[in-house]
Formats: sequence, structure tokens, C-alpha cells
Amino acid sequence: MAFNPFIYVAGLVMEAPLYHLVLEGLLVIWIFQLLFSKSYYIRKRPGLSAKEEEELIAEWTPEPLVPPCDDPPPENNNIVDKIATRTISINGEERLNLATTSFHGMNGDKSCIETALSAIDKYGVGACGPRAFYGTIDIHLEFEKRIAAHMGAEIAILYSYGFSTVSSSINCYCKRMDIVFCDEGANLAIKKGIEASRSKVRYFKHNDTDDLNTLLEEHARWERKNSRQAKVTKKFLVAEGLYNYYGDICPLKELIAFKYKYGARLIIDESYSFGVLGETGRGVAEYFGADNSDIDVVTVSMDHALGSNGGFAYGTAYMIEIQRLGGLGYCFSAALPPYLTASALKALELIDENPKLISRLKENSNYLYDQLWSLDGIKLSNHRDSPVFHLRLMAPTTWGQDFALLQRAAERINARGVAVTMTTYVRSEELILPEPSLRIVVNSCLTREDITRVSGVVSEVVTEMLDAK
Amino acid sequence: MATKRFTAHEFTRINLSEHNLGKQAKDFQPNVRQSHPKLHILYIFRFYFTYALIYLAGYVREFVHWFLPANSTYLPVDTEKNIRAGIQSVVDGHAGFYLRNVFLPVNACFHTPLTGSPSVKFEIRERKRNHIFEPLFELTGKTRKALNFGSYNYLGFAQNDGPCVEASKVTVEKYGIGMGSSRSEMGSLQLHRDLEKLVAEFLGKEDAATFGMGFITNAGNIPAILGKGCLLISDELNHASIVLGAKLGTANIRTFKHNDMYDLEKKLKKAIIEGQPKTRRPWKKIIVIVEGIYSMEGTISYIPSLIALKQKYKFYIWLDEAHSIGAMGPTGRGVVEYWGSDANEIDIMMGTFSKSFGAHGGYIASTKAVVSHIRRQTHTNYASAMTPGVAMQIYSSLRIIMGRDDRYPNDGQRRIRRLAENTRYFRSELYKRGLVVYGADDSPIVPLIIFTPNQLDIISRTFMHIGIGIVTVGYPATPLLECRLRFCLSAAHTRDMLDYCLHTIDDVSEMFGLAFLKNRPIPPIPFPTPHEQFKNFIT
Ligand SMILES: Cc1ncc(COP(=O)(O)O)c(C=O)c1O
Repeated sequence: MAFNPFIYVAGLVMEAPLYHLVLEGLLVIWIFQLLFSKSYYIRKRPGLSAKEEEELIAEWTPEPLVPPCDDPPPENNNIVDKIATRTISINGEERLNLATTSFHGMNGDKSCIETALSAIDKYGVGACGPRAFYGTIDIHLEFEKRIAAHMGAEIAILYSYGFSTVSSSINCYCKRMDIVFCDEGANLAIKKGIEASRSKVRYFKHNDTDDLNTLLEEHARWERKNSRQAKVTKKFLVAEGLYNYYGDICPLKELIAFKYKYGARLIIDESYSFGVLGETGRGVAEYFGADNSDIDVVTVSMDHALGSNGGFAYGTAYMIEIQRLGGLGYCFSAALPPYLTASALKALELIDENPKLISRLKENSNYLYDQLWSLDGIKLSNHRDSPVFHLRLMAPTTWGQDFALLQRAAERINARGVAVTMTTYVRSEELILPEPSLRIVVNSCLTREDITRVSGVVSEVVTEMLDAK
Repeated sequence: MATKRFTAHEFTRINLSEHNLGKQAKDFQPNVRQSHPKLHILYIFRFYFTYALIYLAGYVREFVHWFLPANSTYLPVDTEKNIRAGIQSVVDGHAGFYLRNVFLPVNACFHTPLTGSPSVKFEIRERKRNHIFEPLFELTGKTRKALNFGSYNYLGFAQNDGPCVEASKVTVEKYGIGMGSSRSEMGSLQLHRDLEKLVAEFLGKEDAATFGMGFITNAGNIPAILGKGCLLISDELNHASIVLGAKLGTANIRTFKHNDMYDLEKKLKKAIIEGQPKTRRPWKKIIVIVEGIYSMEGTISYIPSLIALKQKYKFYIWLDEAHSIGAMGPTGRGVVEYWGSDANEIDIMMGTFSKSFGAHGGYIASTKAVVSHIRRQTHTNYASAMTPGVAMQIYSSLRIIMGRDDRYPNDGQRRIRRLAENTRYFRSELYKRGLVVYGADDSPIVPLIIFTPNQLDIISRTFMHIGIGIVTVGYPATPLLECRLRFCLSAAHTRDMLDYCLHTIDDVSEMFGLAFLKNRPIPPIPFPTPHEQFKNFIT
């Protein structure tokens, strides 16, 4: 007889004990209930009719696109009308240049400009495409090669804008699960990079290694408890070589020690220390006699010492090659104009050939520091070797008042033939707003007499202002 | 200039015709056809199968390498010290696998180095690697001449001679290389101001601000107009810089389907009716961000329907014209002009100078209040101003486009017309051939879809061998299954160059079987451009 499933099942049912059947029946009912019932209940709002919806839409009035601004700050009327190196000409008035950050005047150097001109003759102006899509010009490759060799790194990567260099680099490695330990005083580019990466971030007090140690210890304790999660949580230490907002230098040796102790990757932004710190201007690692290869990624903006535009990052091929696919500012932006690359390359050569530039910059900085540090009512937050000076009030009141006071001081200093600026802070964007500061940027083109004059003017004005207060 | 007003509905209906190619809409509606042909299911199956094979080979490879010493994989490794300290690897998981096994083998078609300017005829530096899985290349020292179908040189201003370059050189001599200071400190030239004024005038806006990089123009300025309680609705295929800018703000972000005005309307309706999540308060403001031309799809955004929607839903529009400024519209003023719409309806017009102008940087044009707010809030207050040489290149090329340069009064117009003609010619030739081409009929970006990544490298090399440089794109810049070749047309391409390229495409498509639509090619271009369709309505 052929197999009849119906009879087979019926037989099973007949044979089974009753309690079995009841139990199975209940199970089947339960499964059906699980399958077809809603697992959650949404309390439905009473549905709106189409008319009500239309009314809601018609009623809604948005705020204006930007908040109204009652007292807009005056427009910046400082128009530069010549090349700014030792002096800067503003609205036809020649002043000593302590405002721009081209530390060696490479933006106006004769041979740099000549190189730039012949590069324009060869390459035109724009690169007209991202690096991956025919934006790579041989000069970019050459620059990457030379800068890597110069810094003793394996490879380097060239970005088209200084600000994007560090933020894209950070954003490329740090992912959602990771944790970043960052200095509170780091510049906006770094903080925006971290913000974009959506990683967890712990800010440690500015240049405070004890605080950092506490945070790292805390994290290590968490790791011991959650060892599985810890395996996928990468750690990063982020600092600046020479702080843009303070002019002081990061404790590199300690950072490196922490790096190996806690197994974190170290990212340093050397935008202001490249071409400045160290015997030959190779940055903060050289300054402390540390090994460059202990830093995983170094990022540098070329706006400053190299007097051009753009930026680069260097490190091991293992770290940097990832940026070619993951660095947003690299992948999704047009390459740096070739002529800016060529002139930066020339500037690098010049700095390399003349270590005197570095030592003169250091002398100038030291000299001005020695003149200004004892000034009453003012504190200098910068290091003695730093060419970036930040003058802050010894007795701060409110942010706005201090800013206004310092700004008036800056205006008077400018009026006496020394160009200085206030540090621009976009207040709503800064998580931790530094105190307002008057910034003086020393460069290596200035002579000793110039510095004497600067310190004279600054001391006079500051004393006057504070007395008047 | 007043144009006929349309309701949102009329335009959203046109949007549907995107999926029904060749559907004739009513005569008086401006019509733009955007092709996005669907393939037979068997093809799709084939592509998945190819991927499966690639992955399988990758897994086998990784398995074998597991037994081999680390240096035999050609891949760079972390330093000894880092490994000893137990620092986690930065490439792991699927991303690492994709990188090593799918991306590296085809790596050779990216980052092709040039020498000389990226004009329509350029010179490629040859390079080689010893092994297909090796990431780094060496230059061989040989060069090769080729036609450029890769650079974003829409109007042909990327040259190393001509008036713009000369002007730029003079400026470099006069003002130096970099500014070393931000615009808000001591990095402003009169040139910057003149440029901003000219850009504002060109776009028909009150004011404009310029920035040193196009990417940062989005990423560093979008946060400035967003705040708590704002909603940002962004096209799902928007550029990375827009996505980044949106992430940096504190606003809520939602996306709508690519260029789908129906979907946008749905999202808008829902947002306004439901208000903010949790608190249910109404949104403070809603900002919609779209691009003029999408650089990977070649699609053009539906500006008139966007404006019609805006009138009803009162949102603000941020329009990124990176690729369309200079390249679209009868006088090069971008997609707004192309559609015959009113620039005043677009709240913020953003664009870049790195494409049509052959320079670098970006702009934002809007009302005085908005621009000065952005000037105060931009992240570029911490970065260097636009370099003088670049600013001059933009200034002089913009003057040529506007016909202001007395020496070349008609040059700008000639270039714009040329580009439009080239685009229509090239696209209709491709349609005839049964190739899968995406995008609008008037978009100078022509993506030719080849679907799987395994052929990217060999196709790119075939083209290069014949003397044509094209862009090949794959995941993650495109969806996994839509790898493509991209041709960027230029006003400087001659008909001969286009024909040469088309011949090559014929051969390549035969070799690799790319004519997926052979039996039902995309129909010929039915419509004149919108501004031509509109001619009678513009009073
Ligand atoms: C839509 C869009 N926005 C912004 C950018 C960035 O511009 P830039 O290359 O000048 O940085 C691009 C460039 O690729 C783009 O396509």
C-alpha cells in the first residue's frame, strides 16, 4: 500500500497519550499567537485628515535662515596690497609684519616665486580633479616623496587644504567604536575631525599629563572589565606639536610613553611646529630628540612655514596608505594646484639648505619673549621657543570685555606701525573656548632691531591700556 | 525676467518619467529626461555571481597567506614596536578585506599621474608595480600622450597658456604665493573682494564669499546655518563634503531618494506635521540640500519642482553647483539658469572653482545677511585665505565667461555653446549603441555603467593604450553593483576627439560586452533644453 501521510498522522494522533495532545495543541496555538500578534503596540495618534494636515503645513512658519545680527562686527578693512614678508602693507601703509604665519617669508621668497611661475607655465593653475581621477600631477608625487625622505618617514600624502589635512586624517582612522584622548587646547580642525568621526572623546586638561594618565587608567580599567569590547575599541592620542591657541609645546616624550604603555595610536598636528622647532626645523620630535617613527601620523599645514597652501601627512605606509581611500578631504576634493606644490617644495629645499633660518627664528622668538615676559598685567601662554605669542590678560574679566580691551590694544599697536592681530575664535564652534588673546607671530625675516621696536611698542601700548583701565 | 510658475505637482509628475524613458509629457512643460535604465534580471544575477567569485578568490588567498610570513603579502605592515605594544590594527573587518582583495588588484586605474596641465590633450607618466597585489607604484620615466576625458575641465580653462594663466602669473609676482593669514585677520586682498563682487553679480545674488577649498566650503559652512531644532533633508547621493558638513552641525539629518521630488515631498510633509522627534515641537527651520549636477550619476536636480515645493513647505534651499556652475545654462550661470528659474528662490548657492574655472576653491552666494553670518561663523576663519594666483585665475576666467574681457568678447559664449553641443552629440551617440548611460541628456558628465569591478582596470588600460584617459569608479564611490566609466566632456573637445573616443568605446564595448541594452537602446533625445522650451514663456 502506498504511503498515505494523512493516515500516518492520524495514526500518530490516535496512539499518542491525551496529555501529549493537549500540550502540543497549546504549543501550536502559542506559536501562532507569537507569529501573528504585534510584538509592540503603537499608540496611534488620532489620524489627521488631509485638510488638517494642509492647515498644519500652512501654519508652520520657519525661523529666518540666519539669526538677525543687531550689531555686526565691523567688516575687516585690512586690505593687504603687497607681498607680506618682513613688512606688510595694509591699505597702503607699511608695517612690521607680526601678523601672518609664514615664519620664513617663503610666500614672498624670490626663488619660490620663480619656481611657482615656471610651474604655472608648465602645469597651468588648477589640477581640475581629485587625486584619484587625473588630479595627480608628477609634482605631487615628487613632493610626497621628498617630504617623506626629509622627515625620515615611509610615505607622505598631500592634501589640498591645511584645515582639512588634520581633520580628514583623524576622521579616517577613528571610527564610531573608538575612543580618542585629545588635548583640550587643540585647534578647531582637530576637534572637528574628532566630531565628524563620532568616536567617543575624552578631553584632557591642556598639556596635563597627569590628567591624561588618569583618563587612560580609567579606560584601562574599563578594558579589563570588558575585554571583548576592548578588542575592537581602538585608542588614539591626539595633540598638537606647537599649540595654535597657546603657543606652548606638547610633552611629546610622555605622550610616546603613554602610547606604548596603553597601546594607543599617536596623532600629532605639527602645523605650527614644522619648520620651526628642532635644530633643522623637523618639528617637535627633533626638538625633544624623540624618534619620528614613534608617532603614527603627523599632519602639517603648508600655510605657515612653507608659505604656500595645502597640507600633508606622513608616517608609515601602513598608516598613510589608508588615507588614500579613507581621507575625505583627499578623496573628494580637487588636488592642490601644482604651482603651490612646486613652491612648497622649493621652500622645503631652502629651509633644508639654510638651517640659519631656523636658528634666526628661534633667536627672534627668544629675544621677544625675554622682552615681554615680565610685562605687567599680561601673561604669555607660549613657550620661549615658540614664534607664536599669545598675550592674555593676567586678571581676566568677562570674555567680551577682555576681547574688546585686547582688540583696542591691537589697533593701537597697528597704528604705531606693527601689524598684529587678535586670534579669531568662532565662539559658537569652540567646545572649550580659550581666553581671548592678542597674537604676535615672529618670523625669521625680522632683524633684532625690529624685534626691539616691536617689544617697545607692545609694552608701551599694553601699559597704557592697562593703566587707563 | 519672469517665468511661468508651475505647481509642485506638475513637476513631480515629470520626475516619474525618469523611469519611463521616452514618455512624452505635455508640450508646454519643460522637460528633461534623465535616464536610469533597468537591466534584465539575468544580468543582475551575473553581476552577483562575479562578485561571489571575486570574494571567493579573496578568501582563498587570505587563507593561504595566513600560513605565509607577513612580508610575502606585499602589504605594508605596522611597525614592530606597535605590534609588540598590542595596538589594534587600523584595517580590519570587511573594509580591510575589500581593500586587499577587491580594490588593490584594480588600483592601477586610479591616481594615474600626469605631467603638464590637465587640458584636453595631456601627458601621462607611466608607472609600474611588480605584483598586482602591491599597493605602491614606481614611475618608469616614460610618458604617453592621451586625450583627456577625465578632468573636470568643462569650459577648457585648464591650460598652461592663455590670458588667465598670464594674469595669474602677474598676480603671483605681485602678491606672493600664500597669504599666511585668514580672511578675517590679515589675508584679504582687493582681488578677493573684486572676485566676490563679480561672483555675486554673475549669480544674481546680493553678496558672495569665497573660500580656499571647495570641500571646506560645504563642510565648514553648513554647520553655520544649522542649529538645534533644525532639520536638514539631504539627497541620498549628495557629495561627501555635504554629508560631512551635515554631521558637524547639531541638526537632525534625513535623506530622500536620489532626485525624487515625490519622496522629498513625503518627507517634508511628515516632518512638518510630526515636528521634532520626542518633543513634538515644530522644527525651527528646514533646509534641503541638493546638488546641481550629481558628479557620479550625471543627473540634474529638478530646480523648478524644488522651488514649487519650497513655496508650499517654506524650507530653505542650499544648492551645490560644484559641477554645474559655468557648465550649464545658456550663459553658464548653472542649473538655475538652465531651468529658467529665478536665482532669488535659491537661498544659498554654493559652488566650486576647481572645475569649470580651472582653479581651486569655492564660493557661497546669498543675501548680505546670510553671507556676513557665514563669514563670521565659517571654519575657514582658522585657515589661510585663497591664494592670489588662484583668485586671479578665477577672476579672469569668470570675466571671459561673462564676456567682460574686451579682448575675448565672445569666447565665453562660444565655450558654453560648444560644451552643450558636445554633450548632446556624445550622449546621443552613446544611446544609439545600446550602452547603459545614466543621467540627464544635457549633463556633461557621462557615466557609462559596466557594473562589476573586475573589468575596471583592464578597460581603463585599454583606453589608455589607445590614447584616451577616462575615469573609472567603483565602490565605495558608487553602489556596489554599479561600477562605471565616466566621461567628462569639455568645451575644448573637438568633434574629431569625440569621434575618436566613440570609436574606441565601440571596440571596448564589443570586447567586454558592455552593450547591455543592445536590443532596446535608449531612444534618441526628444526634447530641446529647458531654456529653449521656455523661450516663449519668458517675458
Ligand atoms: C558636489 C561637490 N561639492 C564639493 C566638491 C569639492 O570641491 P573641491 O574639489 O573644489 O574641493 C565637489 C568636488 O568634487 C563636488 O562634486
